[in-house]
Amino acid sequence: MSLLFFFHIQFVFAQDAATVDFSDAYDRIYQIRVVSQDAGGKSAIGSGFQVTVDGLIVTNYHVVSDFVTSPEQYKIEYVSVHGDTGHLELLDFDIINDLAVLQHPEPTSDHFPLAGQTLDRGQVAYALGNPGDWGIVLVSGPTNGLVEHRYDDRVLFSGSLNSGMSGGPSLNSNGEIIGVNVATAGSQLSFLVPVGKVKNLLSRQRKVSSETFEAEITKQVVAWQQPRIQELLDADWKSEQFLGRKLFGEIRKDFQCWGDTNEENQERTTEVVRKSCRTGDEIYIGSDINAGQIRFSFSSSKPVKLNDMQFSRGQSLYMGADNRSNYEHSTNYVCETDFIDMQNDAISYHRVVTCIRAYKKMGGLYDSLLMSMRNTGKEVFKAHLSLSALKKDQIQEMNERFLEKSL
Amino acid sequence: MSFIVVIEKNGQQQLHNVSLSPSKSLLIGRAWHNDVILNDEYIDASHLQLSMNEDGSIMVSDMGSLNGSRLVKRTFVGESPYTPGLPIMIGDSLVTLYDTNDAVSPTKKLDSVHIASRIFGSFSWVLAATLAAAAGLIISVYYASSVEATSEVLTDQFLGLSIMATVWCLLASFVGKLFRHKTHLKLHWVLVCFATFLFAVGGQLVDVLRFNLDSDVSEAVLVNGFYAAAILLFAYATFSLSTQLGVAKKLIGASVFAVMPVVFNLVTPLLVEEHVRWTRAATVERLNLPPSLFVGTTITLQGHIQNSESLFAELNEMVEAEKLDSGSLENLNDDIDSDVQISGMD
Repeated sequence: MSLLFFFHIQFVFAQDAATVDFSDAYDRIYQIRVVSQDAGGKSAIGSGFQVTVDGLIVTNYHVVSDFVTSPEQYKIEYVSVHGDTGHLELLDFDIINDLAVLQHPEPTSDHFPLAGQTLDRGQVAYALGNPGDWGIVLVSGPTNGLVEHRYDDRVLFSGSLNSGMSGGPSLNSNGEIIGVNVATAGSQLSFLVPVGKVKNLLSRQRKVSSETFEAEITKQVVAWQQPRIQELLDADWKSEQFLGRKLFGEIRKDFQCWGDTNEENQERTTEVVRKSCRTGDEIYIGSDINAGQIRFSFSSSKPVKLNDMQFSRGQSLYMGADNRSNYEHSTNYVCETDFIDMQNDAISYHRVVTCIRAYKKMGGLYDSLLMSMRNTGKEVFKAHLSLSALKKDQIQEMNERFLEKSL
Repeated sequence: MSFIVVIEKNGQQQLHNVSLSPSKSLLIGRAWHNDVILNDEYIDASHLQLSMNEDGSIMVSDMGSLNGSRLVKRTFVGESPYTPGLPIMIGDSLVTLYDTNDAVSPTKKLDSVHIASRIFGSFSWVLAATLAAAAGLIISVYYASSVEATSEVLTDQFLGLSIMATVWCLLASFVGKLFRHKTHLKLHWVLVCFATFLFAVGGQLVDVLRFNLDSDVSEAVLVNGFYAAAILLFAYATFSLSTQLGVAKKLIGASVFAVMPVVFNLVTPLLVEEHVRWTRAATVERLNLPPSLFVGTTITLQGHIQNSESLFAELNEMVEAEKLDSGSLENLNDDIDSDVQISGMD
């Protein structure tokens, strides 16, 4: 899934003539720009809309993330349909649901009302936004209920949202907000943040100071991870067979699993069967960092043309991070490797590697890569768990649980 | 008194029995009337005269020759005192007078290279060494590799090693010819072949140790130690065959070669800046060998989780140290912020 402003611009045709007249709505869409203080150029553009009489404007967090991560370098501006521009103040944001609230300095009372709830499956929504700099467009399409395989709610919308429409409103036929445009996965597959999340954010009624942005991001990630991980630890991971082993797979609705083999490769020297499961959520923090992914995989390798020595030597303990980061945000990984006791099994060894890296700005949060490898000489079974942006105890408990369950 | 005159020219030696006394001087030159006649076109007809004083001391005099005479590498004109045993250079020839009453120097013992040359210079040893090298190569291809041992891999390895070994032996022999006046081509071949075999076998043993010891320290010590020891031995043996250096000098020279790669390994990472070393991957450079070679110690699962605790402390120190490093007021504020974050979270 790509966030809208990263996505290539595609042409959009309204499929279905709106039965309701939305001509007024166009005037109420703002283009939101994040502008570099020094260079003056735009670093990001998206859409936004007014939701209260006193001038609160809602957009996506990812539209204004450059400002949140470097408030001293950027400022936020709006451009109205009529070409008026002005400075917007960031009041609050919700990085989990990708929302931000901004204050318009000279608001009119003209705003969109919030609907009581989002639309049900099959009902048509009307999404507005300014893709690129080409003017405001209206895209209509049915909503399809909530996206499966996500921990957090997103509405699946059959309409072509495009780059720049991020943060724009999606309306029901009464012209009420049912969601906020947020992302697209390609043709006719788009995602909306349901209106309930907007209400929650507005009800906090706070003004986050720019000095505490970093702390606020950390706090929100921690608050989101707490129940998400605790539920996993408390749950009984439903067992699933993998090559005769009692393992697990889609342990909660937000996990999705795939399997693959290397059978097609005629020149393979090992026979590999793999199953990989991951969550649909990832938290966009900034243009060079995201977090929150959970992924685990199981694989079984058997030698085809290799002797014991070549086969074992070929087993690498390489693990790569699943989330985007860099030197500015994360340390390098540091690792602990151990051989683990094997009961009733003389001719094999079991090696476990735990690698951890720390976030430099989100103090107290870490990414973890875990690999458990069991080698009988005739088969190597690997179990791998990748966690992102968790506290120490959560990582330790998840790793222990995963190892116990995958032995 | 009776003396021997030794003439050396173009590596050939001639010996002449002569007598010299206060009444009988010795004439050396190209003409037929001389006591010692030299066939050397750069020498005068009458070139050199050796005479004895009453006290038995000997004088040498150049008889005004065109090209002159040199005693102990110095040109002398007219007469100069002479001690038997010193070489006189005239023309292309070296003339040395020895007193027949003088004792010869003690018999030299054969050195280790001579002995090695006698033992290992034989055809059977060359053959045995070549077979050992081939065995070493097969061990490397079948047991020290993670790829399939196809005929291409084997052929490539054999060709590569043969070419390298041949070039090395020729080079080392040439150096030997320069410094030791002997080539020892066969000995170099035997040395290279056995070194290949020992390196392959030793490498396997070191790998088994690395696999079982499973720690960063043992990795560094074993890998660096093995390479250093192998290079030290090989360089020492090569120095012995190709030079006439003393034991201390050979040891120092070989140590320099042995230590260089270790220093390079240890110093290079320090020269790379931290942000360049950053990678999105966790690189765990540990060997995996078949379970039949595993004799290492194991711990419980909980033990591993317990051991992993220290990683977090290590990382926190890293992050703190980096903040202190940048040391500005701005970073001081960050510190306060992160304290707030941590207390806010719990």
